[in-house]
Amino acid sequence: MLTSSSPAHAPKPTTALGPVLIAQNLYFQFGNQIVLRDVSLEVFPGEVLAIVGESGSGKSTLLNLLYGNLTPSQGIVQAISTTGLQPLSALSQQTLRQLQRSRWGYVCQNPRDALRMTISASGNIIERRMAMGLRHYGTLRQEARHWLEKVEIDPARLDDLPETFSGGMLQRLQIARTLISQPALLYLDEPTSGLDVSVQAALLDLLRKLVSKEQMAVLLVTHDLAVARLLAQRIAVMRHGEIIEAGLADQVLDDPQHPYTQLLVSSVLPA
Amino acid sequence: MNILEVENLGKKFVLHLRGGWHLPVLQGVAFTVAAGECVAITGTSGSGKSSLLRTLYGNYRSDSGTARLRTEQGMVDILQSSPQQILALRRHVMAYASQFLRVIPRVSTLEIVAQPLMEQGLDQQMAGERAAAMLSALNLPRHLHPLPPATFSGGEQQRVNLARTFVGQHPLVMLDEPTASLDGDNAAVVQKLIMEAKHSGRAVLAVFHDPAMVRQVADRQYFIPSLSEHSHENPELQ
Repeated sequence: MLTSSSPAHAPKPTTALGPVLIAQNLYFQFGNQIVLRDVSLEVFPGEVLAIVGESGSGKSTLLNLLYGNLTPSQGIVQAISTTGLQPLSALSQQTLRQLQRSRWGYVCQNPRDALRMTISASGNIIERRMAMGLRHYGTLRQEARHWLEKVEIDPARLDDLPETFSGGMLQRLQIARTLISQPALLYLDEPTSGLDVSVQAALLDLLRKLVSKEQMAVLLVTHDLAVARLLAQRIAVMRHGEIIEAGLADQVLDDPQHPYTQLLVSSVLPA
Repeated sequence: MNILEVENLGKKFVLHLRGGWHLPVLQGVAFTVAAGECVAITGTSGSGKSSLLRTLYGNYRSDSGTARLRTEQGMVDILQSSPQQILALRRHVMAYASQFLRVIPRVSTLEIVAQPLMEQGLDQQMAGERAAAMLSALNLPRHLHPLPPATFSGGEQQRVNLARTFVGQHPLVMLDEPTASLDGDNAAVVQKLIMEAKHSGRAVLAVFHDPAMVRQVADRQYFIPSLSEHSHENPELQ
């Protein structure tokens, strides 16, 4: 069989899901220094938006504003919560924490910042599930085992302390710990930098599969254009605290418009 | 019934790292492709044939014109579509095969070809079966399907690329030199795939390096107009 004889696929109606996060005209200042200037963006379910730029461009600050860890000097961040689209500034500290724990996930560059190094791998993985009220030990342990396998860590390591894990394994453990609550919105801050290329490839492959399967919305901060191309549908390029160019990932990388983006793209060494 | 209607399409590159050099590649491009038709894009080397396909796929930006694509919701101008809309068009309406496959580490050949089907909503098993059948049709035997195509030959990689492009049965299929690295037998398979696409009422827009392919599968040719002299001027440099 070459092709089925049926006519062209009838296009499925595209599900018109609204954005899970909207940022409008964000500014952020440290004293007199403007770190972010007039940043606006939206993230939709099932898409990865990569925020790329060199260190110091304001990417991580932006991620922290969008996560609610920092408050913008001007502008507004709105997110879908249990009661619909809400400005983060209108949420109590407690409601925000609840939102972060139950509907969002945050994977930071250094897994040691997120993991509890003094409790076992399984304890780390199931912490969020316990916070959600699950108590059945057998079920939780089964889930922990399942997620260890998903991130390709030998389930025999279930009771080991993170201290005994390599850097790449720690990062995978952090991802398992974050994804177990199936967040609708995932924040990734340089998730694969500092890892060996082989580990990076495995981790990117894992993230790619999980994201497409779970219809998550993902904000990915990276300085690595190859990572952005691999994972993201859209790219926003930051420089000096501003988004200077945004669009379809392959378009921004193959036909960059802004002088700075052209410089970034042309500066990558081919492997 | 037209699937694609292109009018007055223009595209130039502005090379900021070369002092703002303006490099026009397309100007006044206008043609249509109807359902069941294969149109071959012809033109001299460097005339912008590949750039035209990339612009229509949303991979390059355009500077002027319209490119209306038929969808269930009516005609949609690709050139004015948002990234989300382009992604939806790529899922359901238009497919494109570049000259080279972009290999992703650790992703198997089968998965690469099944992916467009999964994005169209097919379950994993059904997508896998159709992908395997398409790969086999393109003479990529089953024992190669679980392997990432990184180690494949140029011709094998191109066949993976073509399998991925044809498998989704998109109403518009765009092909950039699909048979350039293929032997005669495999070129014949591609020819057959194009003919089948036409017979099922789909439209094919292609750049062929081989004039014989043009004669065999194309219903019409569109010759890319040459750029007028004045467009080569670079005002920013003068």
